[in-house]
Amino acid sequence: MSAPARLEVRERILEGTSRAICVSGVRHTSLTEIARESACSRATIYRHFPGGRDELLDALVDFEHRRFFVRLAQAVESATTLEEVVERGLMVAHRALIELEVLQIVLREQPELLEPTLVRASQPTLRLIADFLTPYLEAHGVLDEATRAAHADYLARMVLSYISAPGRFDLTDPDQVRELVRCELLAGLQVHAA
Amino acid sequence: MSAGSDTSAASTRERVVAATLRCLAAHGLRHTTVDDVAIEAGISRATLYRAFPGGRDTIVAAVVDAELEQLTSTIERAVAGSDDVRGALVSAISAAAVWLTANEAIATLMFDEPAVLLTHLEFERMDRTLAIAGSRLARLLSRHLDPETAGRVGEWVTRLVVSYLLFPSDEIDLCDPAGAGILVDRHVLAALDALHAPVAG
Repeated sequence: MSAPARLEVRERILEGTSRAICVSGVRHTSLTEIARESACSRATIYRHFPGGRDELLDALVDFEHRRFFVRLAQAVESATTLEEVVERGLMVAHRALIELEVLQIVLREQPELLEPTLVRASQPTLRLIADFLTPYLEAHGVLDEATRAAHADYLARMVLSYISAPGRFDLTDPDQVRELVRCELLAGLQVHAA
Repeated sequence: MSAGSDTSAASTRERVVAATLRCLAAHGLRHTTVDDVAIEAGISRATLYRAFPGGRDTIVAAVVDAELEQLTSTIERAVAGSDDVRGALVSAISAAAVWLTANEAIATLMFDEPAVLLTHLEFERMDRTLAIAGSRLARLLSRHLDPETAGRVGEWVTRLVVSYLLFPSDEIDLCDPAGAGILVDRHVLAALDALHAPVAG
């Protein structure tokens, strides 16, 4: 099988697993259901995930994690200002997390499944968000590179914190999001803005 | 029940909490059993269960409560001497960071069983953590800030401390008051100004 085709099958299995979990829950999802949902034979699933259920679930968490941030980047890439990209990013990410049914099920049933990914991917995710925001900070007038890096790091930390736990803010309310971004997230930038 | 047995019940609970912390620091949560705790505390299983009829889960809950009290009183002491909001915030943040970093049970859990802590620091349970820690901090800040602002800042400072605990930074060390000062000056004080400034446009 060619590399792209192999990747395609792998993704199909992961997407099928996600759907099966939404129907039956993590513990009760059977190989038969995964095979049906992904339109693959059981043998194919075994071939792609020789480590069995544990390997498949681990790969699923990674897959959903990556897919989430790719979609988030797509959703905000048309934003033109720093305020806009952060505001829209918070709202889109928060809504997407709530609507990510498979995540909610895993959180409820077996949150320890998230452990490897949270540990392995959190630092890179922080980096990813910081890198994504850096050009917007430059356009915002933060010209000094060290200052820009410090603000990108801070913003990434806060974005990650708020999208997973919004606390006192209602991230579905645009006015509250604007206020949060203006104060907690971007007020420190005022001095740098032209 | 006489006053004497009240005292001894309380001291059994304290001993169990202290012993559990030592077990957690040495072996983590997964590998700490009720028997381990009883041995470490130097008491019998029966005595332990009289003090904690709910068993392991209630012991762990008592440990979390006790540690939260420790952290809170550490921060309270640190904040007590400060005479403005900047001083209070810098003291609170660095005292919390020092305490959390020095806590051996937390270090072992972060290393061996991060999910135990992470599940309280992400998603819905983090909202609860934010509410509890945030309101305690808010009380300490009430001398310098109105209640609404204190609540908001308390929650925010909790996020900062948690973020730097989970993802240590090469640039900023929150245990060092100078490091905490950078964040407070750059972000928190700027936002307090922005909060009270008219919204532009």
